[in-house]
Amino acid sequence: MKHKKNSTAKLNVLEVTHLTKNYREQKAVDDLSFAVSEGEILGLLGPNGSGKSTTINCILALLKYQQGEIRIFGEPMTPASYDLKRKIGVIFQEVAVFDELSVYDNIDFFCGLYITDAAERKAKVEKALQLVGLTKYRKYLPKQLSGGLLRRLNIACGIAHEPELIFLDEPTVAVDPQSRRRILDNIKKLRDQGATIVYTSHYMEEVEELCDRIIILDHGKIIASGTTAELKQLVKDRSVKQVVGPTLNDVFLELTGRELRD
Amino acid sequence: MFWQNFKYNLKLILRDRSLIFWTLAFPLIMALLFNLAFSNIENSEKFEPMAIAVVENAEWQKQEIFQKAFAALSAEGEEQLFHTEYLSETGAATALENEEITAYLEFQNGQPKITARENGINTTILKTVVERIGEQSQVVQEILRKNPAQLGELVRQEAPNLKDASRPHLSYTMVEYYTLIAMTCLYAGMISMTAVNRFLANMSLSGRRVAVSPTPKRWLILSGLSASYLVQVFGLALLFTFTIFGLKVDYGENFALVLLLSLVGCLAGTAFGVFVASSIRVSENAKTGLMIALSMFGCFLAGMMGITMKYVVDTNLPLLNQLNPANLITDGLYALYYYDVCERYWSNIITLVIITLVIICISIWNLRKEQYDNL
Amino acid sequence: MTIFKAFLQILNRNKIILILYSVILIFFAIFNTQNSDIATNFESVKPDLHIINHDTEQGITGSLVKYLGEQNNIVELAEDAESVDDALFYRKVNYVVEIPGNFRADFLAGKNPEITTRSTGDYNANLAEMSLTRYLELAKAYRLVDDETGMLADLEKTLATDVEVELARQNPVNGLERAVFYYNFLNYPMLAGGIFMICLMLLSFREQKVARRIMVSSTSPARVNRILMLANGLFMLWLWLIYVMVSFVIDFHAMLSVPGLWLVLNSGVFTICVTALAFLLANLVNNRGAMNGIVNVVALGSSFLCGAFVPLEWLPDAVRNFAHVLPSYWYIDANEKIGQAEEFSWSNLAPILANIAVVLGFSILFVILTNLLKYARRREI
Repeated sequence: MKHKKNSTAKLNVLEVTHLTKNYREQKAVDDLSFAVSEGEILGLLGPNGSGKSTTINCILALLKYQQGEIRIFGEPMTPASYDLKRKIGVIFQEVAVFDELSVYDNIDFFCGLYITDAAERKAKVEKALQLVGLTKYRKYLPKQLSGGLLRRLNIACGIAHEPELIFLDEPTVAVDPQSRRRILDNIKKLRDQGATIVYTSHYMEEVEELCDRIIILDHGKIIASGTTAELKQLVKDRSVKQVVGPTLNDVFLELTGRELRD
Repeated sequence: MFWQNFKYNLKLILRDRSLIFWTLAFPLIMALLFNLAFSNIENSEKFEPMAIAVVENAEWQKQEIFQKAFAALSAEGEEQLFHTEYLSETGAATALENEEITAYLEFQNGQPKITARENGINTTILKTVVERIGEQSQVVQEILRKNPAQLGELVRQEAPNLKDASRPHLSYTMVEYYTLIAMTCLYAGMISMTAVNRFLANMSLSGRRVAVSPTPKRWLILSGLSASYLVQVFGLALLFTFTIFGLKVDYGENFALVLLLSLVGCLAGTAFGVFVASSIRVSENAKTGLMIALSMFGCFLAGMMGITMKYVVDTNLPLLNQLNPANLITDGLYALYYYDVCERYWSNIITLVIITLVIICISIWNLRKEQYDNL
Repeated sequence: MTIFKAFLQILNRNKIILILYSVILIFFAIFNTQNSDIATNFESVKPDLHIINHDTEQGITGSLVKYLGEQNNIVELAEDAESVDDALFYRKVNYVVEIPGNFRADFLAGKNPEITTRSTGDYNANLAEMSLTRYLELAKAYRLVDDETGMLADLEKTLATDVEVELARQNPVNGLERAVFYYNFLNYPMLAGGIFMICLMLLSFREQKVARRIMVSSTSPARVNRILMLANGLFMLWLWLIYVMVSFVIDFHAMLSVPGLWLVLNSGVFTICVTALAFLLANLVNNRGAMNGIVNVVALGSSFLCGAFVPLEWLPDAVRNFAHVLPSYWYIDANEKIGQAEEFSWSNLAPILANIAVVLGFSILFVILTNLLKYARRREI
């Protein structure tokens, strides 16, 4: 089920214009511009090293960048934009939790960075536990959790404060199909609750299932964007040999080339 | 907000077993080692009567002055110098061979002769005593020759008028324990380093979460540092309790100032950890290794592996030790113990505060950075 | 070769800590080498004395100062009171004599002027005080019958008497004190540096991912182990050679002698033992935090308890007896024996060789324990 939204009528939650980021000589993000409208799930696709994570870290004001402007909810995003940050949730690629703290304490700690009121926080932590299905593991330490559960904890830590804009950087890496299913359902639930989501992944079927719109990045540039259908059409038109019913995977390989990436 | 973070920081520190080892257990282990290694040194230096022998032959019977003198010097009491045995020549030689005595005295042709096991302070003391006794007869002869009337005065002579102005606290092994306090203070850096790393986006993943949250990281760092300071102060309290009640270490009369110095020292250690965390970009393991090695080196210069090192550095490379936080803490405690409250204590504490402020400023400068070139 | 290369990379990344331990060693070696004035014949052992003279350098005062200087080592100190007090505390001097202004005049006038002294209260201080009172008592006795000139003449004559001393045993003459100090202290950096590096290496290789990769690779685990052992062995050899070279730099003459070479041999055997111990410990610990703890407890513990920092003879008997279970004790004890040996006859060599054999025995024991541990572990999997 696709939720095709009318992007012109909605407010742009995130606006990236002319973003350029260099690591020494190497261009990681090259004059990138895009926007995400409210309630949308945007998929950022690209091979390893194409600049997905760098883009997200720039948007979050973690990385310095040479050029460009980033606006979230219409406001410029800076390290001190605490009011903006309150509305953002981030789930990093790597599991970022404290080994010394229990599942509950981890979520409570990170949620505590957003919500100071103890009663409100308690309710939200419980809700997050329920959402990712970790309620019965609340007293476990991270090292006692399996890979899938750990990923779910990682997600809970990022979204317990119920953000309006969520960045998910490959949240399903190295997760079994059952856990992945659960995670994808969670993301849909978040979307249904009204959150805007920026999602990066290698898994085409995930993107195809979730995203309203897809941007394919390579060498820090947008090489294609649109809905899944639009992208498939694009490949059909471009391709010399006729591809019958291309999958998103075919689209991806066609656009980014087949050679191995560093 | 602050308390919520403080509580979790405390939890994080207390659950880190290797941190707890370094800050709480290791100083206690060291204190015990010191006690084992140093407890005997000063006792072995205290003057105790030494075992000697006199060869009781016909010649000895003629030495009336020596007989009286040795009887007097061997009499039990405060002034006792010798435990004297009277043996035959072979008996004395055997006793010497068996290490029962340090030396023996023998008269040959009216002249005293000492046979000693080896060169050493004991032999020199015996030699000096024998020479002094021998002198008495010379003095008497000389006075008889020049002015016999004064002979009576000779016995009425007062003893030389010496005023002992030594300071009462001379136990140098105490300094070893002071270096331990210094080490414990500096090890506060290990906790604070770990605490700060948690909240730096370029150091840890959790730091990235913090960086994208609406809570300014200075509050987190502050609560992390407060928690680590509290834990280390607790560690110090343990060490003080153990050394004072268990090992009978003497910290001098003014314990309030000892505490003040330790608290400042702990602050310096904490700042040191923040400095390493924020200003040196190597892996966390390398940081821990560096902290341990640097603290150890500082303590080594402050006399931990032998207090001579402290004195040698103090007198030859004074600047090195005046900038060495481990030595500033050690020297401050030494000043309190040996000199009571004095300028030296305050100058140590002030230098320590200045060094701490400087590294805090550098750290703050580095911590201010909120955006990085790469992660 | 790749394993070897990885090894060198790990070494390179952790060189700072090794360098620090070595700097500590060299610092110690350079600064702890003052006391090496031991003579062949009997010579009075002299206490260290500092004189503060507020009076003239003439007459009775000058003569007293001169006599004290003959009987003691005069130590010059900075003028201020604190330097003097510090010197006493750290035993740079054993005794301080402060002669008041007008001492000469007062003394000649028949008074008993007060002399301020400071003392460390030990044997040396007692001896120094003895030289002071001896002079003063004699001077006062002669004051009864002499003027100043006569007094000085009589004093000189009387104090010239010397009692003959015969030594049953000569003190060590091989001038090796400095080298022995160095090699005793070597116990610390060798243990700390050696165990630290070897544990770190083996841990890095054993860390789950790498170990599994090796297990599934075509190189057999036994071969990997052999290469690692070889690499660690070469590293220890290299560390040892550097430390030996430093000892030659510090005291070339002493080292280039038969006893000097025995010290080198002894430390070589000890290096083998440290290597074996490091392998055992590396197999016992499974994380870096624990490793740091064990390295320091083992290195500092055996250095304090076995006489690397505090000479063995000063340790309490109980500690010394306990230390027998540690290899460091036998290594350091052998150093001491080498330092005291007058000549390298069989009777002198036998105990030294016995010590070296014990250290070797410890090495074998550690190797056996390591293998037992590995065997037990493998069965667990």
